[in-house]
Amino acid sequence: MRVLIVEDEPLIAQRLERFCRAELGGDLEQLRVVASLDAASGFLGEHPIDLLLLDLNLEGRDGMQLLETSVAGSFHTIIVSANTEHALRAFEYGVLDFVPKPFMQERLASALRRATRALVRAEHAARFLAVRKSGRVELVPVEDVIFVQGAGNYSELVRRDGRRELHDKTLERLEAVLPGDFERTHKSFVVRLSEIVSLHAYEGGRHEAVLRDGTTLPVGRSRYKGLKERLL
Amino acid sequence: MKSWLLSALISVFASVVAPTGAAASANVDGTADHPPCELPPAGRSEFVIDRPLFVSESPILRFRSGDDPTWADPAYDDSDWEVRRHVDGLPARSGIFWVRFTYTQPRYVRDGLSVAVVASYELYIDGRLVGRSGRVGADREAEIAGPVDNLFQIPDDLATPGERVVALRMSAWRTGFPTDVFRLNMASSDFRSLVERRMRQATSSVLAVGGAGVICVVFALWWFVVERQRVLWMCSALGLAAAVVQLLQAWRWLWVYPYDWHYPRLVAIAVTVSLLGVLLVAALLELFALNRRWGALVGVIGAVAAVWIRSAGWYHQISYWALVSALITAALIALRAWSSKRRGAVIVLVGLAGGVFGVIQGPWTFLERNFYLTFGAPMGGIAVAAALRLRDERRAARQARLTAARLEIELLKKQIQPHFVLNALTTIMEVIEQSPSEAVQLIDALAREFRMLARVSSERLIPLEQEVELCLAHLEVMSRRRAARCSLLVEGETARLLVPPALLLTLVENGLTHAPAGGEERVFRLRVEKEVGRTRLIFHSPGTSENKMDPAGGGTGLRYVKARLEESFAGRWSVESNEVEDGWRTIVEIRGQRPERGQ
Repeated sequence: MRVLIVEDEPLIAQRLERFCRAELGGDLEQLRVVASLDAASGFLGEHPIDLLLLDLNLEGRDGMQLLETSVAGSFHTIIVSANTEHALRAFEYGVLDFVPKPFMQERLASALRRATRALVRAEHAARFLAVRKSGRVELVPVEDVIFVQGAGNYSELVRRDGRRELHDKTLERLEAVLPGDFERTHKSFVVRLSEIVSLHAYEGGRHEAVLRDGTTLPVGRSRYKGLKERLL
Repeated sequence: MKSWLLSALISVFASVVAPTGAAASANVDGTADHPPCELPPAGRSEFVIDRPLFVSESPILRFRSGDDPTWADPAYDDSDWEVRRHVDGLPARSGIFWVRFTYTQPRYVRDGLSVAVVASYELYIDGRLVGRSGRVGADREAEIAGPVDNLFQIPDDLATPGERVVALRMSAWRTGFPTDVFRLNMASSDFRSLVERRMRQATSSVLAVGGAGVICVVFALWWFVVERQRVLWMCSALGLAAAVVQLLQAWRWLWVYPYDWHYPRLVAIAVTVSLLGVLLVAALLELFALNRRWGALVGVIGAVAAVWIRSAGWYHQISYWALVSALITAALIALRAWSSKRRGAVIVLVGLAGGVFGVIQGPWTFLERNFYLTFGAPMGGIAVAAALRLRDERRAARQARLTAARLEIELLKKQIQPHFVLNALTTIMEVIEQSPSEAVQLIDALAREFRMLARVSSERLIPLEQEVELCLAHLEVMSRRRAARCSLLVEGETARLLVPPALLLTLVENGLTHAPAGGEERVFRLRVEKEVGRTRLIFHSPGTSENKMDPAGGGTGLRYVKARLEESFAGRWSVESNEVEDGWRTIVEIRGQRPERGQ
């Protein structure tokens, strides 16, 4: 796991670093601390990471823009900040967790666990998904998305009007911040359950889900039973 | 056109024009403040002296200097006496003289005679002494001044229909008028209605005294108790002047005075009306706070002085023109105020229009029944406009108080806001785990900063030294938190210099926020430059151009600084903030020696 810490107070940065090392142990491949966002973006351009621990002053427009840019990335973002009044807003933009300052080791550890373990969802689901488009970031409302298709290191968000948006996060990472209504139906699909109108089982173990707009998606054999139970 | 309609129109026209005509002729002497409303009701009057429009009805006066008791006899032949029309007037300070005329007593009851003249006299009708006023004298010492206004009851046997001969034996040694002629005003009617009319005459003035007095007292109280504003005592003085004018008017009807008081009374009225006019203009200038105030004031004083010189001795005319020129000047001022969008200018204009109408419509009554228009309307306009202005000012003052409160809260929020405290606590947690003794020092520094902040937060201004101390405390906390030495160097004279609290602290904070993170030492510098009438605080915060501070005018920190400076040095400060080679420089300049007084 590759972690970047953005924190301008050295002592707090030391604390974050200490806890990360203690929690991640051998899983930690790389850990870098920078003091400013400018330094962070410079680093990110060169080095892919998995997790960003960000001390972000979310006051004002600048703070929100930085947040959008951050959550549009392929990595998970955990905010570590004293500005707790903006926590919900941060969640809406798709951060994985929000650790209020001051923090103890256990609180940071639980945040790190969300990032490392599959199928642990964010405490509050995102309402927007930030999509990078030719240098700028556009926010796609989650309620406009009917399913997400994995495409290697990227994902494709499929909107109600059929448009597809490319997202930098993997399907697994997106699933973690999407609302509970979204379910993994296939190794390459996360689908909004309320969009499914029927399930079909064919000979040869082929399973399909038909969505409200007529789209047919394959359903993984192992997931079919659970999906059927949830839908009934 | 039907003849009745024509005559009605003529009479309406006459009633409007008549007083103007009177104004032109009547001021030849001094008694001319006597208005036509002295006359009996229409239809009753048959002999009238001193009313030019009805000259044909006015009897011809026969005049002769000297003294002879037989001249009272109706049978006496006065055909060789000098004929005087009423406008010619009668001689003053020149011994005893007689006036005779004839009038026809109508069929209906007319047993009253009103005489207004600045002289002592004996009144004979058909040779019989009907009444006297004072004592007629051959020289000044022998004469006793009688009242100006007298009402005589004509004995029943003389009130029967028929021709009557009126003879007046007169002397006027004590008249103070500078002119040597004066006029005789007489009107006959039934005695009761003459008494009534005289009462009514007094009533309008007495009511006006009350009204003007209330204005005077209310505004004086307002000024004294609520708000020390110049315009308030000016309104009060206007009320006082109006009350004095009306008291002088009422004096004639309520306290009968000997005729030698008539002249001083008229002078007093003219003086008071002139003052009232100047005061009206001054109050408007103050109310609207226009430029070149002295010019307008000198202008109106000049106009009033010109009126006094031109119309010297004609007191009614002085009052008239003084008031007219004041109202015109006031209207010009109100027009300018209107074009400069001053609050209440329109209502003042309306009031002044009412005043001008009152004067033009009643050249004889503008100090009597028309006074409610000539003075009341402009005064009402000014009072409303003044009230509006005060309301606006109170709102602004309340707003300023709210701003001050908000600034105080903002200052506290800056340091005790959760962000600052929680970050500090996080650092403390870490330091405790790493090195408990350093943690104690950090907590101590933090406590020192909070204590200092608590002391200055409710002040509008604090000594610069105290402000520097606060910054040093903050820098110590930040040095420990940032693990970098931060310091502040002060050059120049800081003694007896007052600044808004957290002025410097805000600049230091801005510098810290925008300075690059890192271990190097950071030195902030403050230089104080004092010149005559101005003080400059030059603050330098280190940094590189990559770490730009908010440009001047932007950022909450600079907004706080500006709001605080405006609060304490309204309009006498400037803040300039720009990038320099090795950091950022902010120059705060405060002009004038003393800060504004607190609210």
